[in-house]
Amino acid sequence: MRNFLKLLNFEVNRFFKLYLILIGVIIVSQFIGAIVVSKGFMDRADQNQLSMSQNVKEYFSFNYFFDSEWFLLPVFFSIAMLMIYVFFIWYRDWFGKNTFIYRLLMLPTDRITIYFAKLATIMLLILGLVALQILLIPIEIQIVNSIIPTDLQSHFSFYHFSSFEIWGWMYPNTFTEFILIYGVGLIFVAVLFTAILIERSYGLKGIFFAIVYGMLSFGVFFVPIILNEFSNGYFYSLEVLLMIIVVSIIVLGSAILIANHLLKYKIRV
Amino acid sequence: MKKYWKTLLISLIIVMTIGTYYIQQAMAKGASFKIETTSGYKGEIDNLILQARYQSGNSYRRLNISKDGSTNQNSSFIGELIGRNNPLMFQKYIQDYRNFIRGKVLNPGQYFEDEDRLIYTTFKSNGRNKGLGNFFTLQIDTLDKKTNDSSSFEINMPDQVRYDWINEHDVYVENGKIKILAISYLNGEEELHIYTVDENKKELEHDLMLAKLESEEIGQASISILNNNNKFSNENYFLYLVEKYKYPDNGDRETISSEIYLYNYLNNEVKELTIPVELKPHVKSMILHGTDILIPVRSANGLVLKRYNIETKQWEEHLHFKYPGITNEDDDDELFSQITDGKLYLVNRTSDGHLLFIGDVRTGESLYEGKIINENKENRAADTSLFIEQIYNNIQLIEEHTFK
Repeated sequence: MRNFLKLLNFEVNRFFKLYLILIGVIIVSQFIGAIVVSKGFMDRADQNQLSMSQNVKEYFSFNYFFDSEWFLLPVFFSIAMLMIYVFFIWYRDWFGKNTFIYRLLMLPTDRITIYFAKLATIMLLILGLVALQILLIPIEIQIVNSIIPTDLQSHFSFYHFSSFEIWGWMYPNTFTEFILIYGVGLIFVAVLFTAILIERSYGLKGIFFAIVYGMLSFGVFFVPIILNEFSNGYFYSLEVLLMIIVVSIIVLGSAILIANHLLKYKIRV
Repeated sequence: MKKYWKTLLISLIIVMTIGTYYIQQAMAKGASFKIETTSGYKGEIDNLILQARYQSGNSYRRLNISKDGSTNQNSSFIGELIGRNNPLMFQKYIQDYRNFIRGKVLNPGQYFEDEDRLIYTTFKSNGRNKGLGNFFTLQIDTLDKKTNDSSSFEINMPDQVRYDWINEHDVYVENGKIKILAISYLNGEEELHIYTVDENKKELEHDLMLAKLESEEIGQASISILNNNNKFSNENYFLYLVEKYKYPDNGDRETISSEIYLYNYLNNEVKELTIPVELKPHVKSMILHGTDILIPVRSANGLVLKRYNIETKQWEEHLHFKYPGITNEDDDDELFSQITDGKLYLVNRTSDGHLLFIGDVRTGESLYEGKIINENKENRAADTSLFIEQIYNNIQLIEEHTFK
């Protein structure tokens, strides 16, 4: 456990500067976005008032902000950065200035701890950004409120944002769904990690194995969903969920077992 | 410890923010409604569930309103998984006959139920036939409710029966005959059929076509079935309306003809009904109730129910239900009305909420009056409103408190 925490902290430290930059980009872009979108709405509202005799009132919905590139681009940028880092977190240890992986593997601890520490790092970084977004929204609402008079806004309580698409995926309605969605994310990262280790263990041949392994895991994971599709609603939704949970455990379990085996016996430095 | 501050800080922020977010979200109820009795017998709403939609802009939530307040329908994922979002009337059936209902379409028009049996009928298509529609087989599943045994048989429809799809609207079972009322579609043509199946011989005995629209009539004619098909049990009659209309240049729909027919399952007879001219605009809201045909018409201070008795072939004295708060007589969208088991249910928007009215269709008496009130009016959205979709009485719901 102590070794895991040390490794985790070490990995977080390595990404921290870049992480702060990422956070800065998100904050700046979204705050500017909130101002630009609100101002744009007010300009249109003013024009409407001038040009139209009848009072066609358009209400500002926070959706406008969520649909704008100011909000979406930093979100997708962060997703892309973290996706790249999923690979980088391993390969930097091989291709860095000094082959750091050599020292890591020599540590007096189970080698799978390295795998877990890196996995936990990625999840921590993702969830950190997810939490950051929750903190930013109330501030952005304040910005919008200071520009657009409240009687021009359609009121939707903060906790009802989940009706909006992207928000609904990032912050599902209930905590159960939250766990499920980010659980799937965790499995996805674990499978990628194991695929990387396969490549690191078998070289060029490994790339082929890694792709086959990735596709196999992907296929197994989707069996319940495909089964449900082709059985014409034969299964009740609860049964489908149970099947998904079972295959998730299989996919995640095999990813960890394979990674453990590779790290112990096959890994090349 | 000091060494780990970055990791600790990130973890702390994650747990605190996401934790608070979900705790607060669980507590934020959103729109919640309750029913307040104004007059009448309170027991009338004991088993009542109003299935409603609460709309704000282009997002909406579903809720059920009962005497205990309202419950949000799409807030719980697990609730959705255990089937709480299935049509209300099917929830009890899924609970009681889980294996029988498995994989079946939840359309009440495809089911029949009496004391002993639950019957499900479905037209299954067997692949396409070069643009001439699909061949169909008719599958009939029967569940013996006492022994819980189910049996099933299939009938190949005759070769000439080729459609794009078939929509079932009613199943009538009597004396070993299963009659299925369906509208079938092929290349823009629409046909209203009654298929009669002999249960014992397991064969299609008769195929009666009641009405047909040619493909040239797309958008200028329609067949509609006026029965309430939220029922599994037999109704001896059904009403259908064949309308022809056109759209002149100025755009408003102009009805050329609208004919109402009454079909009698007992003797397979079809009769055209003559509707007094003043009632013609209201035919769409006709309701078949036992041997009565009821037409609700708005009046200055309430609702008038015109009654026609099928057996005596007479228009009977109409019933007048009086209730307060009508603002606009012509505004039909504002009014929700439903007649179930001898009771008239009305929900009408008024200046301070929604009026719920229950009346006795046999006597014309008012049984209950109440108000549906938004409990947290102060955070009501500027452009939201409540729409009632269906009222259910005596339906057993899956317990709300067992799952979050």
